[in-house]
Amino acid sequence: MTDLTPEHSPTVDGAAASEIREGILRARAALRRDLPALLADRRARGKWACYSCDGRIAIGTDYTALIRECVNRGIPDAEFVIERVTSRAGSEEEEEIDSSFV
Amino acid sequence: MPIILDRSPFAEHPSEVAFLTERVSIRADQIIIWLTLSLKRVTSPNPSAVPFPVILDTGHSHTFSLHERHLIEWAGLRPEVLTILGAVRERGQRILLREVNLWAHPTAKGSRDQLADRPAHQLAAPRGIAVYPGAEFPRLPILGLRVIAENELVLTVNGKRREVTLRTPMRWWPFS
Repeated sequence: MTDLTPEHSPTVDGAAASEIREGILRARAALRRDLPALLADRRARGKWACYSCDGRIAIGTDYTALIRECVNRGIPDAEFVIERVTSRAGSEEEEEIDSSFV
Repeated sequence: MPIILDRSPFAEHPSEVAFLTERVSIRADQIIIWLTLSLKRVTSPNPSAVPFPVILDTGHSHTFSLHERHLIEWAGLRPEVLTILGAVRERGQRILLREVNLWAHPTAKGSRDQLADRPAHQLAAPRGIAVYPGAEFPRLPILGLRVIAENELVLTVNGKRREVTLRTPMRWWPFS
């Protein structure tokens, strides 16, 4: 059975990793490290988690407010992530999608 | 409780919409929503951006997809200035995900194409939007089911009336 715990999230392939800025990869890694505790906390589960390379910025319900907080702190776009606290948060997996037939 | 689509009709027959200098075909039974895009750190809609039509397609399993020409000519953003967040795979093709803010512009009650005099509503796309290379596919930008889920929106389709309503959830208590 494949281990899909946050610590063992599928990683992006080499080509993609080189395209993704180091700051994004490190922010996601920080989020993955905290994910078990976040998922166990019912006050955090399902909310937005904002992380930078240095760790947690904030957990909240207002996505725009979290972006503003990062901007106010002078954190560049490529050095923070905001994701819902779900079991997939912080994943680097290259997902298969369906684009329908527009 | 902002309402983005307020009993917006979806047509039984093909039609057209005009915006900027373009006219685009809308197939029968397609739901239209009007969007603009901004850089991630821009937390209000660009007042000079012209909303463009997007198909709301619950069969699309990603947040938002468009091709490079849509991004450059309709949204006014160059792909190379948008942070790459990863990639997805679709029909064997690898598509890069780029970071933007989406802004949904409300339509007037009962109208598909007339915008209301209400502020645009930000739609989070935390994993990025799929930017297809070139100018062929998708024919029109597509907003998928994930954006409804991730933004906790409520979509109601009334088949008999051929109307759709898209709104934010009702909040009964103050949130932090």
